[in-house]
Amino acid sequence: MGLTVVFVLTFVSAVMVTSASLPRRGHFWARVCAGTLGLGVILQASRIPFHSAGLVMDFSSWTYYVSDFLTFVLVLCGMVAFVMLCHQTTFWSALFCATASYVAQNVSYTASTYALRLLAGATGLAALGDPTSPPATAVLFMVTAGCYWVYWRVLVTRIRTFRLEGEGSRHALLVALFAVSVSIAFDLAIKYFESLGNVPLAAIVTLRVVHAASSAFILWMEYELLFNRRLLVEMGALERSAAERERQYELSRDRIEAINIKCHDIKHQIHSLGQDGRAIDPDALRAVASDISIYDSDVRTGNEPLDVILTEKRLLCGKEGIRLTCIADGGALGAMAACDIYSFFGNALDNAIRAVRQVEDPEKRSISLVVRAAFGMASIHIENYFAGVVTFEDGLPVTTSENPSEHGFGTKSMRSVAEAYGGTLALRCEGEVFVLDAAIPLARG
Amino acid sequence: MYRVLIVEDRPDDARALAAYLARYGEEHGEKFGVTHFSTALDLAESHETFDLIFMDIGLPGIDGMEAAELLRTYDDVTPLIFVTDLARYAVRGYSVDALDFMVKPVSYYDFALRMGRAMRLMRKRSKGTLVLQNKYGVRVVSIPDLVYVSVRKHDLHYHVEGQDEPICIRGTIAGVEEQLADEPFVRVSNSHLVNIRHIRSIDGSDLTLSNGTVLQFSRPRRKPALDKIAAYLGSGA
Repeated sequence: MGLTVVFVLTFVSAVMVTSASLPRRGHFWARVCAGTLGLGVILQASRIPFHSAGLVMDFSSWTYYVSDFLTFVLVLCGMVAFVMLCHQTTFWSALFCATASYVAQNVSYTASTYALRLLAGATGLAALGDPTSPPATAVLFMVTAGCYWVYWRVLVTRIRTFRLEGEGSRHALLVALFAVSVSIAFDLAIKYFESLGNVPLAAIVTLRVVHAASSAFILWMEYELLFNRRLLVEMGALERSAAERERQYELSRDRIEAINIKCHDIKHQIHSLGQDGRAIDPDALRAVASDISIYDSDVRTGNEPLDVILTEKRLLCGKEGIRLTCIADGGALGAMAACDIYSFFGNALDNAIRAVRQVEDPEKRSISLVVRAAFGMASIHIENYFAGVVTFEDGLPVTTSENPSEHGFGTKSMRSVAEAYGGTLALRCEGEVFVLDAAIPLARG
Repeated sequence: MYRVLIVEDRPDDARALAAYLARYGEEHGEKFGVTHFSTALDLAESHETFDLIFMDIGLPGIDGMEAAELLRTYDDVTPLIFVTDLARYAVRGYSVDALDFMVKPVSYYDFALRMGRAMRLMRKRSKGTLVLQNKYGVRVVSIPDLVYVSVRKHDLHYHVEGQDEPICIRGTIAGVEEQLADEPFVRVSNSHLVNIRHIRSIDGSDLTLSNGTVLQFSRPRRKPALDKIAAYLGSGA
């Protein structure tokens, strides 16, 4: 019974250390007590405590190992349930917490029991030989606490478990789950060897060390795969913004060239208007004014990246006879990084432009963009006409292009940008008009 | 019938816009009563209220942007759509809460796109007040002043701006949600219904309201609530 209590406490404290940053449900401590009791029942009903106390079991029977393996898996499930009971979180976050704390518990258990044996051997104290005696318990407690402290410092403080839901991380989590299962099996195998009795201590210790090392590796791997992947994503973003900058330079160069040519043309027009002392035809003047209006495209919203992307898109629209109007409070987007603004608005406007190009009536080639701050949020609203039929899957439009690998990532990327800032993106059709509504919480302070 | 005001100094442009309104009205089964002012001064001196205002930016005397700023000092509700020759000035339209803008020459479909948005906004007219009856009597609550509604078991608490004590009546939160379906309210958790116009900031799952109260989104309701807020903000309200 005493062993069970010790075991339950080690599992529960490992889980609580890992899930410390998750939002807690109401009556948190009552839930913790209930969960602990539940885990206790599971452990008591299983054979883990007896098993680890070295009591004789039928090791030659393979059914023993299968049932033991299943028991460990049951404990893992129990820990997932524990996290979900006490915290408001998703299954995937809970699974991560359970696997990580399970491994941590295993490592610290191994470390503490071997530390105890070393101490017992070194000091020769009989009391230390019995794991349930007070001095032994004290040693176990201290070593376990020490291991958890290291675990806390090295791993948990670097994790914001709230952000676990992301694409790709579910696969990594399943891989981690598999690795943990292998680790459990390895642990059982080592116990089997120990039980044979005629295996040299050095071999057992070596195996134990390998097991502890591989467990630590699993923890590290979970951390790397799930969290450090973001580094790669960010590097990708850096490369994209470098490419974007290059595009901007080329664009400026083209613009200057286009402006030069236009000025030349306009000079001719003005010249011919003033010929022969004729009265100036107001229609001809209006034509010149309209030609010049394409250069009235510099947009000043107070947010530089937004200015750049809007100016580029307006020029592009001007060339194709698409009317793009912008009301934009650049200050509302203060929370967003430049590369995210380029990618979000670039994608949004590219989609709108693509849709509007397919509209037959040139009069309907109209796009309206409004960015404003209201009630704690930055609201991004884009409307445009579209042609044909749009079907939605999971809230995002299904691509209609012939090359499915090319398109369809634009809206996914936009949604992940919005959600990365704690916001949301919604797309819908209202009659002939396609509407995009995104809301991103304003930066604090 | 919706009362529309056109502030435009060029009679041809004003006539064209009125014609578009008539055409839109025919196509969508709406009636519009159109008034035309030639200068911003007329607007400042008039005492009429309108459901929608089209404002030319390039007006003689006080320009459209200044007129809009003046309008907003006493009216922050009427939707405003700018009409302009020059797109660059209208970018700042957010500072006067402009719904949208159009660049001359305005095509019918440019107009229809913006008008659609304006219609959606005008159709959602607030009921204005809620009548609450409990054992202590009847209380009339102005909906814009209602910050949020919370529930505990069968008791609803209506938290009104400027009042320390909430008003309590018996009921279900789902019932209130239905009652306020046309109003800017969003369900953030099983026990809280919040007035979007009283949200001051959002940080992760924390929601800070105008009266300082901090509430929390419940996990399953966070995304649908944010979507509703996004749609509400996007409509120009």
